Amino acid sequence: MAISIKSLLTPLDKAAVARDFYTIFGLLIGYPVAFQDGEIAPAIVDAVIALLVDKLWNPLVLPALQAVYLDYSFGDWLSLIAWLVYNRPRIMAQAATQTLVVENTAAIFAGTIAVGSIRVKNTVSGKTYTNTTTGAIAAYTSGSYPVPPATLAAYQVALVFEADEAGAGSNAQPGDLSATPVSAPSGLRIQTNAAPFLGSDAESDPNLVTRARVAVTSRSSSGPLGAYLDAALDPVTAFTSRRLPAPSSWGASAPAILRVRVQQPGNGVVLVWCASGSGPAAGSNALVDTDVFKANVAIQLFVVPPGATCTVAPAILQTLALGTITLDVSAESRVTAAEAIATATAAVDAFFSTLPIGGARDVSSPTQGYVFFKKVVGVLTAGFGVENVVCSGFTADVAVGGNAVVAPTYTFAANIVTQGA
Amino acid sequence: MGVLFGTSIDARTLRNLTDDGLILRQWVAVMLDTQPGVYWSAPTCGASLRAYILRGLTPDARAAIEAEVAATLREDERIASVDVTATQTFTGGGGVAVRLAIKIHAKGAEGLPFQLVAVASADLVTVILQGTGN
Repeated sequence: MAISIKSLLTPLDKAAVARDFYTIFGLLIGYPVAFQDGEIAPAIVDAVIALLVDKLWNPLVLPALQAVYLDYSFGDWLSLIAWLVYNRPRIMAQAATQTLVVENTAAIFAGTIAVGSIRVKNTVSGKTYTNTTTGAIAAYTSGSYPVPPATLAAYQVALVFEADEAGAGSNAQPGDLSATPVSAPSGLRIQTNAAPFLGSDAESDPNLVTRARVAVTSRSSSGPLGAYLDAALDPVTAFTSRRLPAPSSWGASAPAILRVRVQQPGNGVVLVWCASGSGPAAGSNALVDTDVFKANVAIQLFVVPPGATCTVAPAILQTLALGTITLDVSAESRVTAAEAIATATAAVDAFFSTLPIGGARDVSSPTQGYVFFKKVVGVLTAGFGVENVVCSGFTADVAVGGNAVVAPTYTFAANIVTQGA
Repeated sequence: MGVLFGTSIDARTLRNLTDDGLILRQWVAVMLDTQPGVYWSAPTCGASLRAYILRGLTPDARAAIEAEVAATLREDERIASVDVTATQTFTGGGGVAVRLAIKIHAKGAEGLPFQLVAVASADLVTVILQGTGN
């Protein structure tokens, strides 16, 4: 009997294990044994199976086995295998950083501001940020603050602040930071941020799996499709995996290119379209140190074979107006309208952030990509308690341009409904 | 092999246990010392006497013990009927114990009831076999 890999890599169910045990036991033992609840034998079986399944197999052995197969691997095991086997370390979360102007409003403190001595707070998210650079600042002794602009600079210093928590959760929009620090030398305050703080989350499991899967193609000198993906998704590793230093101005992290499409129109021409999770990738192949520029450099250096011509560009933005999405939420589910909308918003954003450039294809449309209507409705109705979904501006499949990345626009409404008698 | 209940495992020696009366006594002892939820495969199994005692022995609680213990034991397919009588006793150190007189009629041996006495305190459950069907 053939047993699929999927079956072998599925978590064990204690009841199923117990059934198998009793079946085997019944075949091996020829006389009746008391197995009623409360007897010693089932108590021993109960404890042993719980130990094997809950403490040993499912949490320890199974993830290790799954890690060998990229489609089943996840979490830290995936990080380990991707690094050791495929030489593709997971791209870690990046803390948001930004330069802020610190002002001295009193004569109490003067001198060098130490690293980590000022902590400021985001008034919207509650996240905090700490200075990572030092700077000297003079005491302010000229009466009430602020002083005239001509002399203000003496009582100001620009310092770099970094989010205390890495990841996009610590992002801040201009003006979000409180001018009054959470902690700082007496008399110091900041000017709220004029520019956003932008960090990034750690690379997701599916993206890491994609990079690991195409990693081997990067060694080919004939420019296979996977090699273009590999270089575009992580141009820094394209350098470091060849024991070459990446340009110092690039930093250690990969750009936010999460989706790549490679087109081959013919005559040795290759077109590479790049997109982030929210839309076209930032920059262009001419704007130095932008995401698309980095991808272009890595591709031209390491992937494009002699005789081929490659153009790397950001994908084209295709806006899809979903209109007003109305959710009918079952009153029996005890889900509030706000909760249903929050769940649906996260679901639809996640769906479009991973929709391939050029749209999704199926067997009925192998060349033309679409945003499939039923797929979007399925995503929206997956939330607990959602009974029905109506999109006012989206009622049928929408064709997507071959180099386009789809960004939806929508508003939500929710009705709490009860089942008719 | 026991005439009625086959073979069990002696909890103290892990050897085969074939005496019907001892099998039943051990089973009752385990049931009366098992908090429901301990076994994932039988989450309702057990009627912990110690839990009853720790909860406080009011007259109502004592009456409930009789009913609940009898109901729990009656669920077993080997049991035809159960009579439980609870009395409260005091241990030497000022503690409280419950003495249960349990009369069990096993299926297939209706004319030969097993007479058990269970004594439970906050830290110990003892079941004594006073008569067997064998």
